[in-house]
Amino acid sequence: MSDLFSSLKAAKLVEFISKEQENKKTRRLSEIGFTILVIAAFAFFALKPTFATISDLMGKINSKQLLVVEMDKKIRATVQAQDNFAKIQNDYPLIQSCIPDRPAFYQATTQLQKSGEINSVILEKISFNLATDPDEKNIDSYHMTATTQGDFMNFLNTLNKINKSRRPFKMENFGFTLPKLQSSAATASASAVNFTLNAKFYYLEKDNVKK
Amino acid sequence: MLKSNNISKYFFILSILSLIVVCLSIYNVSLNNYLKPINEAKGNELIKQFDPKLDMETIKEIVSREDLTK
Repeated sequence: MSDLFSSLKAAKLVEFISKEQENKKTRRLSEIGFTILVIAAFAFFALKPTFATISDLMGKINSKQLLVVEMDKKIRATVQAQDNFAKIQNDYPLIQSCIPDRPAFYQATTQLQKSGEINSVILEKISFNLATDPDEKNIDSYHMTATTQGDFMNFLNTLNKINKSRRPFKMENFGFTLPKLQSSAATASASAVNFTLNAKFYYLEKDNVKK
Repeated sequence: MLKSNNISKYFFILSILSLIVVCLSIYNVSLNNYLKPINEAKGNELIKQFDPKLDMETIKEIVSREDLTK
């Protein structure tokens, strides 16, 4: 009887201890969880603003350093550009005549006329088309069409001459056509051909300089 | 007993997840704050570089060409 009583007591004791251990584990897990939650709250309310301010200041310092380095480079480049400009200052009017800062229609016409006159070609008609090309954003241009009649070889020489002139232009197309012979007497001037030249002249507006 | 043990486990996992989320949010905010002024500085028009070298060959070519307007 006493054995049974003591074994019952022992079983109750084991059960109590195991329950107590389980309880302890739960309590410990809860404690750790709560501690982590407190750390997270501390990080959110205290560390986050601090880190945000520190990183903001560090970013500002680095950006200022970057600006100083880049501005220094740009100042050096500007000084170098000034030196280079001083070197070519004497030739600047020549460059200006090459790509003028205004349309300079007179210059373009004279250039064609002079090169024609040298080769005995008198231009009969010159017309301008001021339609701008939307693809060319950094430079302005206009089209010039010249037509006349004369000797074929003289035209070729004229083309060769104007190709070597100072103000460059783009020869978009040129054409030769035979004039309609109205009588047999006109065969005497059979070497004369109609000549058409389409050219594109460039100029650089001052307010159109690449930014 | 088993129920309270489960609740404590969930609580523990939730707290760990909260800590991870807070750490990631701190990292994100800090990185944004760090990179924003640098990117703004990089996009600044004032520091856009230009090439100061002049193409002397072209200038020589211009000088060598005949001016037909005179």
